[in-house]
Amino acid sequence: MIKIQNIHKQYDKVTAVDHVSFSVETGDIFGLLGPNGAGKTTIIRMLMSIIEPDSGTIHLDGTPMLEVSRKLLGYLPEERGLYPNQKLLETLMYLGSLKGVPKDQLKQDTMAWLKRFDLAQNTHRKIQELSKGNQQKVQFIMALIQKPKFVILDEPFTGLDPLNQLLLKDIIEEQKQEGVTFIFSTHQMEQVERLCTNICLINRGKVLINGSLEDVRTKHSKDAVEVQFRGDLNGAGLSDFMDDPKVIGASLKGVLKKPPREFLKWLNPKVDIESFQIDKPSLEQIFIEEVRASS
Amino acid sequence: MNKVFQIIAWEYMIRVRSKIFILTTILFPILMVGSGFLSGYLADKEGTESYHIGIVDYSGIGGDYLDRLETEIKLEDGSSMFNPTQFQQETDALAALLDEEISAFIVIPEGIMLDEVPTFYARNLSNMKIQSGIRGTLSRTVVTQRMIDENINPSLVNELSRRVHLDLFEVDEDGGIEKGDKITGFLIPFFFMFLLTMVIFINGQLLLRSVIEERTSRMMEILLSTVTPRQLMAGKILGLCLLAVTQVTFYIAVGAGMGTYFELPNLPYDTLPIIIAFFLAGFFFYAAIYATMGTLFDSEQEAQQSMGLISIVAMVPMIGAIYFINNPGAPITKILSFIPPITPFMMILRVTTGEATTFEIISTLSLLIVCIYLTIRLAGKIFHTTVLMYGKKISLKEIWRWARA
Repeated sequence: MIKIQNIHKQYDKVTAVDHVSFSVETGDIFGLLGPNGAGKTTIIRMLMSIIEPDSGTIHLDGTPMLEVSRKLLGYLPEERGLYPNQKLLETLMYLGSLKGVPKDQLKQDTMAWLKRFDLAQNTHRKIQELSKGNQQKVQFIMALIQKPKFVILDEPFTGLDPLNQLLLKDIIEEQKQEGVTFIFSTHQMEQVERLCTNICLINRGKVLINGSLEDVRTKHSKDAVEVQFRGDLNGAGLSDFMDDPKVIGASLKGVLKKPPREFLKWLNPKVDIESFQIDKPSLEQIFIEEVRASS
Repeated sequence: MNKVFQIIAWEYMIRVRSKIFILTTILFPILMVGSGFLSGYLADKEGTESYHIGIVDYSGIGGDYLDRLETEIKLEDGSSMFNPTQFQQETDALAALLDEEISAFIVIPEGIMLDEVPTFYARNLSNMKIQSGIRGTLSRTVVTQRMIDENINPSLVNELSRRVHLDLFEVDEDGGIEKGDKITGFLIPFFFMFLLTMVIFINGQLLLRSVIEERTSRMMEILLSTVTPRQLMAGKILGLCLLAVTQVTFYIAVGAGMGTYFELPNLPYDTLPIIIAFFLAGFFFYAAIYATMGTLFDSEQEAQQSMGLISIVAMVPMIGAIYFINNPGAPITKILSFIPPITPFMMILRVTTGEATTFEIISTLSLLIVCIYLTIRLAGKIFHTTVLMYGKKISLKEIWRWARA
């Protein structure tokens, strides 16, 4: 479990991270979200011990992050880099050895990853000779080469075609099954909805939302409902239960003013209810709404 | 520590096998030796060329002067360097010059014996060999004529004016005496000082470029998630240091080989460990500065402009090399030995000239080690702060604040 408690980071007069706290359960895929300049990169750099917080603490399974072996941490930064003039296999071997993987195991694992990403035939090619998508895959391999327990992926799907996005998603799911914890930062909200179970939305260095994705969506649903029914509904009395009710054919839409239970109790004798659904907003809608409100 | 070794190995391996390193390392001595051979060849070639010269004489010494020009200065094949022709009028000589029948002409005035100044004409005045040959021969002709006019025997004066030569011996601290020569005294200190300057600049540039590349290609972020900035900086500097040692070993081997082949003075093997100590200290000092500069700029051009001042400081010993080598014990040479950015150059010079005392060697080396420690510490602080700052112009005020932090 990763526990971030009250971390704060100030650059001159700018507060990059303002007393942020959240936790990530082991084996979770956690979404760290926020607009540009929200403070995500600073939080990620503090998580990776690249920079230290001015105050507050970060622990991985109870151990202060600064004391955690770097071998346990995998990192795919948003601003990605490679040595363009160096050969693929040599670069991966160098970075793997820096992370403390024994040489024999490293070569074996590197080749396995390269095969999986269909890059095995490129081992002796210079990285600059690879396509952008393939370079992206190399960077992903770099993040996982040492079999880390905790991985930060910052915009991992950028630049990948749908097939490779799927491959990446499968690998993330596999790793999750093996107990690897992911922090996943992206602007692609549909990817977060597909992968993450818990999220933290920050803006201007402060936490706006923190919790399970399901809870967040429920909390932001605002009681908008849609009912499919059989029978005649003339609309009389609806305005006592709903704002702006709309009946189109066998469908009723509106925002509840009273608890769903009371509304259903009133509606049930009048028509045959085929379906009742509370509309939850998309994560993108929540993101826009929350960020606008806080800005 | 293991990570530092891995960075050293990587930095060393990727550069030692790079074409640019191999080319510059091998090409440099070839170019140096080649330019030596070329200038020797051109100097030899110069000695094979003869010139047609015009003389317009109003003084009466023209005949003697013409004879001397034909006989005194010889080419390698024994023929005369000058083929003089006497003209009656300056206008005739000028016409011959314009028709390229002669390369130059001299007008000897009537009062040359009374210090009236002769005049020299040529299409261009860049050929110093013609001018010095003509002037020297005319001087000798005039001086001889003056002696004759005063009833002095010129042959006797020549005989009595022969030069005194010196046999040179070098005495070391223990009183050992060794035959030396002027070339040894100059060549060895200059060789080592030049080597240090060159290795600092070549490898310093590599280090600067490497840090800038890792920052601009955003590789730095991945590296810093694995190693600390201090480990990264140490690995880079030591890797480049190993590269410099490889380069210097190669140059010393080439220098020793050439020395044996051309019968040049031997390298000072007894003082070599001290020279290497100053060499490494100098390299570390500048490497720390170069590595830090790499973190302050987003492009090599920007960094180069700011490195100008540092380069000038490092060039001071080279600029004053002749004075410092000729005066290794002079107060200014001694004072400069205690100014850290210049210390390694000056001490290499003074150790190789045998002028440095044990106290001076120990004190300057200690001073340098303290300065290297402080520079690397300061560089580490700046490196740590600036390494992930992109696109921000960093002011001296900010650097000063980080340094004090």
